[in-house]
Amino acid sequence: MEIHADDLFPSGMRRADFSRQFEGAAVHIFSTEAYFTGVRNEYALDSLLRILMSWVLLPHFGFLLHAATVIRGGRAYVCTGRSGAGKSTVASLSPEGSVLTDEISLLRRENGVWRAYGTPFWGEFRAEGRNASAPVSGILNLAQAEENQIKPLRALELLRTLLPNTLFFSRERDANARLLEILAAAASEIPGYDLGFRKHPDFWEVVPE
Amino acid sequence: MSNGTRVLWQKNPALAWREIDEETVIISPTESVMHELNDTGSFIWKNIDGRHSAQELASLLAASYEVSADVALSDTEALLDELSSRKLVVLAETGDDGDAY
Repeated sequence: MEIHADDLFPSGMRRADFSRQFEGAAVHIFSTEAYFTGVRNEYALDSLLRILMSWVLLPHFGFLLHAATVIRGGRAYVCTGRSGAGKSTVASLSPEGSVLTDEISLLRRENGVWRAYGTPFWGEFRAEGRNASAPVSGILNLAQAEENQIKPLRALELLRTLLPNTLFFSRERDANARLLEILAAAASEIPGYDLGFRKHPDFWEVVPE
Repeated sequence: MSNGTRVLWQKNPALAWREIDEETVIISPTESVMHELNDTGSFIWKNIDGRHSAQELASLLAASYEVSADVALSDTEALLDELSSRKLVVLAETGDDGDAY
């Protein structure tokens, strides 16, 4: 879906599938596009988009994860962790153009293959999220350390890592059951690792290709 | 409880749960809390269906694991207490057919 967050909603455009106005701001949603106009607070729009995307992804077997994603050799390495774990550091240590996002990654299983996408949400590094994707090679649970070290995670351990870092806002039982189904599949099908790394690009040497 | 009533438990219908690595992960959407059960806890959890008493759950446990009936009952009651205190299970119904808790 394309998001247009400006005042360029074309007049004379066909009737939107969903339109709503609130205190001078408006949203017009079509099947593949959404227009936001009159938005006075970009952070409010940012929050709305996060909620909307987390919800829209459920039927598409996808989810949003607090994670930086770096492309190496055409494969995506999804680097997750709590604030301060090193997402932006990993992004800053990666070659220019290799960072899909330094803040929120979109993961989705398509035809049996997990792919990571960039998103429009930015973090400390202010890497511009790229509308591109790559098959996922692994999920790295980050922790800054004196020496580089890596440890494979069991599926349950990876699920423990994914759950607190997943963006999800619904309190509905069925939606949460679906999210748990998706996360359990991701944890079972994607290699996961605890990665302790020092602030030097050589940490990639311990990461399996 | 020993007042002659038969207490039956059911999973809290508000929860989402899933088995992974032979353990059970339960999430409480309203509290954003994750709970985990080990393999024997998962076995009991799967059989909590609103129709089995603690005694019956313990019998199932003893039949599937190398554990005595007494230990199975003690473990089952302790787990049900814990699950109840966390609101992961709720009372299904209370009968009066003589079975104790």
